[in-house]
Amino acid sequence: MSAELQQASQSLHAELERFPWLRAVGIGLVDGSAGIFVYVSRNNKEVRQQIPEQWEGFPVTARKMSQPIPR
Amino acid sequence: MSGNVYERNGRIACGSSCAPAGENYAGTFGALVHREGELMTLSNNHVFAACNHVPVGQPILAPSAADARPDIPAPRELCRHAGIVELRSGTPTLVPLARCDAAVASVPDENLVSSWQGDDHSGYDTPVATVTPISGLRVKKVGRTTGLTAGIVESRMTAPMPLPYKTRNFAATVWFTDIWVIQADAGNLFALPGDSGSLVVTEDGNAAVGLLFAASSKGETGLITPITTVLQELNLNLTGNHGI
Repeated sequence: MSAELQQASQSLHAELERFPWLRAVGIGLVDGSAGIFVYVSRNNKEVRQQIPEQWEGFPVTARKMSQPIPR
Repeated sequence: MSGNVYERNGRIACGSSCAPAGENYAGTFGALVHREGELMTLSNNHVFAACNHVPVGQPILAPSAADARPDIPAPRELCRHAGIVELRSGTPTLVPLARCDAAVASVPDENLVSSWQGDDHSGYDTPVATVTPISGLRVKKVGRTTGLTAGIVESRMTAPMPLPYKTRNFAATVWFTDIWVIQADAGNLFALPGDSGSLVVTEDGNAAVGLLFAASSKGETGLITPITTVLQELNLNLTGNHGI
Protein backbone atom coordinates (compact mmCIF):
# COMPACT_ATOMS: atom_id res chain seq x y z
CA MET A 1 0.00 0.00 0.00
CA SER A 2 1.35 3.40 -0.98
CA ALA A 3 2.39 6.26 1.25
CA GLU A 4 -0.26 8.36 -0.51
CA LEU A 5 -2.99 5.92 0.52
CA GLN A 6 -1.72 5.83 4.10
CA GLN A 7 -1.71 9.62 4.19
CA ALA A 8 -5.19 9.82 2.66
CA SER A 9 -6.52 7.34 5.23
CA GLN A 10 -5.05 9.31 8.09
CA SER A 11 -6.49 12.57 6.82
CA LEU A 12 -9.93 10.97 6.42
CA HIS A 13 -9.66 9.65 9.98
CA ALA A 14 -8.88 13.16 11.17
CA GLU A 15 -11.90 14.44 9.23
CA LEU A 16 -14.29 11.87 10.74
CA GLU A 17 -12.99 11.34 14.26
CA ARG A 18 -15.38 13.92 15.69
CA PHE A 19 -18.31 11.61 14.95
CA PRO A 20 -19.26 9.19 17.73
CA TRP A 21 -20.15 6.47 15.23
CA LEU A 22 -16.59 6.18 13.91
CA ARG A 23 -14.81 3.03 15.08
CA ALA A 24 -11.72 3.02 12.87
CA VAL A 25 -10.28 3.77 9.44
CA GLY A 26 -8.13 1.31 7.53
CA ILE A 27 -6.54 0.67 4.16
CA GLY A 28 -6.87 -2.38 1.95
CA LEU A 29 -8.16 -3.66 -1.33
CA VAL A 30 -11.62 -2.42 -2.32
CA ASP A 31 -12.84 -4.54 -5.26
CA GLY A 32 -9.24 -5.26 -6.18
CA SER A 33 -8.02 -1.67 -5.97
CA ALA A 34 -6.28 0.10 -3.12
CA GLY A 35 -8.81 1.99 -1.04
CA ILE A 36 -9.99 3.13 2.36
CA PHE A 37 -12.34 1.34 4.76
CA VAL A 38 -14.34 3.35 7.26
CA TYR A 39 -15.67 1.21 10.13
CA VAL A 40 -18.78 2.59 11.77
CA SER A 41 -21.03 1.58 14.62
CA ARG A 42 -24.13 2.15 12.48
CA ASN A 43 -24.49 2.44 8.73
CA ASN A 44 -27.67 4.46 8.21
CA LYS A 45 -28.42 7.33 5.85
CA GLU A 46 -27.24 9.98 8.30
CA VAL A 47 -23.85 8.29 8.64
CA ARG A 48 -23.45 7.54 4.94
CA GLN A 49 -24.03 11.22 4.14
CA GLN A 50 -20.89 12.06 6.12
CA ILE A 51 -18.65 9.52 4.40
CA PRO A 52 -17.31 10.47 0.96
CA GLU A 53 -17.31 7.91 -1.86
CA GLN A 54 -13.79 9.02 -2.79
CA TRP A 55 -11.07 10.64 -0.70
CA GLU A 56 -7.93 12.11 -2.24
CA GLY A 57 -8.51 9.90 -5.28
CA PHE A 58 -9.05 6.63 -3.41
CA PRO A 59 -12.37 4.74 -3.18
CA VAL A 60 -13.98 4.68 0.28
CA THR A 61 -16.07 1.80 1.63
CA ALA A 62 -18.15 2.08 4.80
CA ARG A 63 -18.44 -1.07 6.90
CA LYS A 64 -20.61 -1.59 9.97
CA MET A 65 -18.56 -3.04 12.82
CA SER A 66 -20.11 -4.06 16.12
CA GLN A 67 -18.10 -3.12 19.21
CA PRO A 68 -14.74 -4.93 19.20
CA ILE A 69 -14.13 -6.68 22.50
CA PRO A 70 -10.81 -8.13 23.66
CA ARG A 71 -12.14 -11.31 25.27
CA MET B 1 -21.65 -20.88 23.40
CA SER B 2 -19.91 -23.83 25.02
CA GLY B 3 -16.16 -24.00 24.93
CA ASN B 4 -14.46 -26.24 22.43
CA VAL B 5 -11.88 -28.69 23.70
CA TYR B 6 -9.78 -30.49 21.10
CA GLU B 7 -7.65 -33.58 21.56
CA ARG B 8 -5.12 -35.16 19.24
CA ASN B 9 -3.68 -38.55 20.17
CA GLY B 10 -4.92 -38.00 23.71
CA ARG B 11 -3.12 -34.66 23.95
CA ILE B 12 -4.65 -31.19 24.32
CA ALA B 13 -4.69 -29.56 20.88
CA CYS B 14 -4.47 -25.90 19.89
CA GLY B 15 -7.75 -24.04 19.62
CA SER B 16 -8.95 -25.44 22.94
CA SER B 17 -10.57 -23.52 25.77
CA CYS B 18 -8.16 -22.43 28.49
CA ALA B 19 -7.80 -20.00 31.41
CA PRO B 20 -5.69 -19.61 34.53
CA ALA B 21 -6.84 -21.57 37.58
CA GLY B 22 -9.03 -19.35 39.72
CA GLU B 23 -10.30 -17.21 36.86
CA ASN B 24 -13.92 -17.35 35.69
CA TYR B 25 -13.49 -16.77 31.95
CA ALA B 26 -12.21 -18.63 28.92
CA GLY B 27 -9.91 -17.93 26.01
CA THR B 28 -8.03 -19.97 23.44
CA PHE B 29 -4.76 -21.92 23.58
CA GLY B 30 -3.36 -20.55 20.32
CA ALA B 31 -0.17 -22.39 19.52
CA LEU B 32 2.89 -24.21 20.70
CA VAL B 33 6.09 -22.19 20.50
CA HIS B 34 9.76 -22.57 21.43
CA ARG B 35 11.97 -20.11 23.28
CA GLU B 36 15.64 -21.06 23.60
CA GLY B 37 14.74 -24.74 23.32
CA GLU B 38 11.89 -24.66 25.83
CA LEU B 39 8.43 -25.73 24.68
CA MET B 40 5.79 -23.14 25.58
CA THR B 41 2.21 -22.19 24.77
CA LEU B 42 1.05 -18.92 23.24
CA SER B 43 -2.12 -16.91 23.82
CA ASN B 44 -3.10 -13.36 24.78
CA ASN B 45 -2.06 -11.48 27.91
CA HIS B 46 -5.76 -11.08 28.73
CA VAL B 47 -6.22 -14.88 28.47
CA PHE B 48 -3.11 -16.25 30.24
CA ALA B 49 -2.58 -13.30 32.58
CA ALA B 50 -5.98 -11.62 33.06
CA CYS B 51 -4.36 -8.38 31.82
CA ASN B 52 -1.04 -8.31 33.71
CA HIS B 53 -2.48 -9.76 36.93
CA VAL B 54 -1.92 -13.54 37.03
CA PRO B 55 1.30 -14.45 38.86
CA VAL B 56 4.06 -16.25 36.99
CA GLY B 57 3.80 -19.97 37.67
CA GLN B 58 0.01 -20.00 37.97
CA PRO B 59 -1.44 -23.18 36.37
CA ILE B 60 -3.42 -22.64 33.20
CA LEU B 61 -6.19 -25.18 32.74
CA ALA B 62 -7.73 -26.66 29.61
CA PRO B 63 -10.63 -26.48 29.33
CA SER B 64 -11.10 -23.43 31.52
CA ALA B 65 -13.00 -24.12 34.73
CA ALA B 66 -15.80 -21.95 33.34
CA ASP B 67 -16.20 -24.38 30.43
CA ALA B 68 -16.31 -27.59 32.49
CA ARG B 69 -19.35 -29.73 31.68
CA PRO B 70 -20.34 -33.39 31.97
CA ASP B 71 -19.55 -34.49 28.41
CA ILE B 72 -15.94 -33.33 28.10
CA PRO B 73 -12.69 -34.11 29.96
CA ALA B 74 -12.29 -32.27 33.27
CA PRO B 75 -10.02 -29.22 33.37
CA ARG B 76 -6.37 -30.23 33.64
CA GLU B 77 -3.08 -28.42 33.73
CA LEU B 78 -2.02 -27.35 30.25
CA CYS B 79 0.83 -25.04 31.16
CA ARG B 80 2.05 -22.48 33.71
CA HIS B 81 2.02 -18.77 33.11
CA ALA B 82 5.52 -17.52 32.26
CA GLY B 83 5.47 -14.04 30.77
CA ILE B 84 3.59 -11.23 29.05
CA VAL B 85 3.80 -8.30 26.76
CA GLU B 86 2.48 -5.68 29.15
CA LEU B 87 -0.86 -4.03 28.44
CA ARG B 88 -0.49 -0.36 29.25
CA SER B 89 -3.36 2.08 29.44
CA GLY B 90 -3.17 5.71 28.51
CA THR B 91 -3.60 8.19 25.73
CA PRO B 92 -1.15 7.78 22.82
CA THR B 93 0.38 11.18 23.44
CA LEU B 94 1.55 10.00 26.88
CA VAL B 95 1.92 6.22 26.69
CA PRO B 96 3.61 4.12 23.99
CA LEU B 97 1.16 2.34 21.71
CA ALA B 98 0.61 -1.37 22.31
CA ARG B 99 1.95 -3.57 19.53
CA CYS B 100 0.27 -6.79 20.65
CA ASP B 101 -1.68 -8.56 23.39
CA ALA B 102 0.37 -11.68 24.05
CA ALA B 103 1.59 -14.03 26.75
CA VAL B 104 3.46 -17.32 27.02
CA ALA B 105 3.34 -20.22 29.43
CA SER B 106 5.70 -23.08 30.19
CA VAL B 107 4.69 -26.64 29.37
CA PRO B 108 5.42 -28.97 32.30
CA ASP B 109 4.80 -32.16 30.31
CA GLU B 110 5.49 -32.14 26.57
CA ASN B 111 3.47 -35.34 26.18
CA LEU B 112 0.25 -33.56 27.19
CA VAL B 113 0.12 -31.13 24.27
CA SER B 114 -0.12 -31.22 20.49
CA SER B 115 0.63 -28.60 17.85
CA TRP B 116 -2.46 -29.79 15.96
CA GLN B 117 -5.12 -27.11 15.53
CA GLY B 118 -8.69 -28.25 16.11
CA ASP B 119 -10.27 -31.64 15.53
CA ASP B 120 -9.00 -34.71 13.67
CA HIS B 121 -11.35 -34.24 10.73
CA SER B 122 -10.97 -30.58 9.73
CA GLY B 123 -7.90 -29.54 11.70
CA TYR B 124 -4.34 -28.89 10.59
CA ASP B 125 -0.88 -28.71 12.09
CA THR B 126 0.49 -25.37 13.28
CA PRO B 127 2.66 -23.92 10.50
CA VAL B 128 6.15 -22.83 11.50
CA ALA B 129 6.44 -20.38 8.61
CA THR B 130 5.06 -16.87 8.97
CA VAL B 131 3.72 -14.32 6.54
CA THR B 132 2.96 -10.64 6.94
CA PRO B 133 -0.77 -9.87 6.68
CA ILE B 134 -1.84 -8.44 3.34
CA SER B 135 -5.24 -7.24 2.24
CA GLY B 136 -7.10 -9.90 0.29
CA LEU B 137 -5.35 -12.87 1.91
CA ARG B 138 -7.75 -15.67 2.82
CA VAL B 139 -7.25 -17.01 6.33
CA LYS B 140 -8.68 -19.40 8.92
CA LYS B 141 -8.41 -20.09 12.62
CA VAL B 142 -9.57 -22.53 15.29
CA GLY B 143 -10.94 -21.02 18.49
CA ARG B 144 -12.61 -21.92 21.75
CA THR B 145 -16.01 -20.40 20.87
CA THR B 146 -16.55 -20.56 17.12
CA GLY B 147 -14.18 -23.41 16.27
CA LEU B 148 -12.86 -23.50 12.71
CA THR B 149 -13.82 -20.39 10.76
CA ALA B 150 -12.55 -18.62 7.64
CA GLY B 151 -12.34 -15.06 6.42
CA ILE B 152 -10.27 -12.54 4.55
CA VAL B 153 -7.70 -9.98 5.66
CA GLU B 154 -9.53 -6.79 4.81
CA SER B 155 -7.51 -3.82 6.02
CA ARG B 156 -4.86 -2.38 8.29
CA MET B 157 -5.87 0.36 10.69
CA THR B 158 -3.99 3.55 9.95
CA ALA B 159 -4.59 5.32 13.25
CA PRO B 160 -4.18 4.07 16.84
CA MET B 161 -7.27 2.11 17.87
CA PRO B 162 -8.60 2.13 21.45
CA LEU B 163 -9.90 -1.13 22.89
CA PRO B 164 -11.77 -1.43 26.20
CA TYR B 165 -10.36 -4.07 28.55
CA LYS B 166 -12.28 -5.24 31.59
CA THR B 167 -11.14 -7.97 33.92
CA ARG B 168 -11.32 -8.38 37.69
CA ASN B 169 -8.21 -6.23 38.27
CA PHE B 170 -7.85 -4.24 35.06
CA ALA B 171 -10.44 -1.98 33.50
CA ALA B 172 -8.85 0.40 31.02
CA THR B 173 -8.52 1.53 27.44
CA VAL B 174 -5.43 0.31 25.61
CA TRP B 175 -4.43 1.97 22.33
CA PHE B 176 -3.00 -0.35 19.67
CA THR B 177 -1.01 0.19 16.52
CA ASP B 178 -0.70 -2.08 13.48
CA ILE B 179 -4.07 -3.80 13.90
CA TRP B 180 -5.45 -5.79 10.99
CA VAL B 181 -9.14 -6.49 10.36
CA ILE B 182 -10.31 -9.98 9.38
CA GLN B 183 -13.77 -10.05 7.85
CA ALA B 184 -15.84 -13.23 7.86
CA ASP B 185 -17.38 -14.45 4.65
CA ALA B 186 -20.83 -12.93 4.16
CA GLY B 187 -23.32 -14.10 6.75
CA ASN B 188 -20.75 -16.12 8.70
CA LEU B 189 -18.87 -15.62 11.93
CA PHE B 190 -15.13 -15.25 12.21
CA ALA B 191 -14.69 -14.91 15.97
CA LEU B 192 -16.54 -14.24 19.19
CA PRO B 193 -15.47 -13.59 22.77
CA GLY B 194 -13.56 -16.66 23.95
CA ASP B 195 -11.71 -17.01 20.65
CA SER B 196 -9.03 -14.59 21.82
CA GLY B 197 -5.61 -16.15 21.54
CA SER B 198 -6.37 -18.09 18.36
CA LEU B 199 -3.62 -18.38 15.77
CA VAL B 200 -4.77 -17.07 12.38
CA VAL B 201 -3.15 -18.88 9.45
CA THR B 202 -3.37 -18.80 5.67
CA GLU B 203 -6.26 -20.72 4.15
CA ASP B 204 -3.89 -23.45 2.93
CA GLY B 205 -2.45 -23.74 6.44
CA ASN B 206 1.11 -23.16 5.26
CA ALA B 207 1.91 -19.97 7.18
CA ALA B 208 0.86 -18.18 10.35
CA VAL B 209 -0.50 -14.67 9.85
CA GLY B 210 -1.54 -13.21 13.18
CA LEU B 211 -2.72 -13.63 16.74
CA LEU B 212 -6.39 -12.91 17.31
CA PHE B 213 -6.96 -10.70 20.33
CA ALA B 214 -10.40 -9.14 19.86
CA ALA B 215 -13.63 -9.84 18.10
CA SER B 216 -16.62 -7.73 17.26
CA SER B 217 -19.57 -8.40 19.52
CA LYS B 218 -21.58 -9.92 16.65
CA GLY B 219 -18.71 -12.03 15.42
CA GLU B 220 -18.35 -10.75 11.87
CA THR B 221 -14.92 -9.25 12.47
CA GLY B 222 -11.73 -10.31 14.18
CA LEU B 223 -8.75 -8.13 15.05
CA ILE B 224 -5.22 -9.47 14.86
CA THR B 225 -1.70 -8.31 15.31
CA PRO B 226 0.92 -9.72 12.94
CA ILE B 227 2.35 -12.98 14.28
CA THR B 228 5.82 -11.72 13.39
CA THR B 229 5.37 -8.90 15.91
CA VAL B 230 4.22 -11.31 18.62
CA LEU B 231 7.10 -13.74 18.04
CA GLN B 232 9.60 -10.88 18.01
CA GLU B 233 8.25 -9.29 21.22
CA LEU B 234 8.50 -12.56 23.15
CA ASN B 235 11.52 -14.04 21.33
CA LEU B 236 9.62 -17.12 20.14
CA ASN B 237 9.45 -19.52 17.22
CA LEU B 238 6.31 -21.40 16.25
CA THR B 239 6.35 -25.16 16.81
CA GLY B 240 4.74 -27.71 14.51
CA ASN B 241 4.85 -31.49 14.15
CA HIS B 242 4.52 -32.03 17.89
CA GLY B 243 2.29 -34.85 19.06
CA ILE B 244 0.34 -35.00 15.83
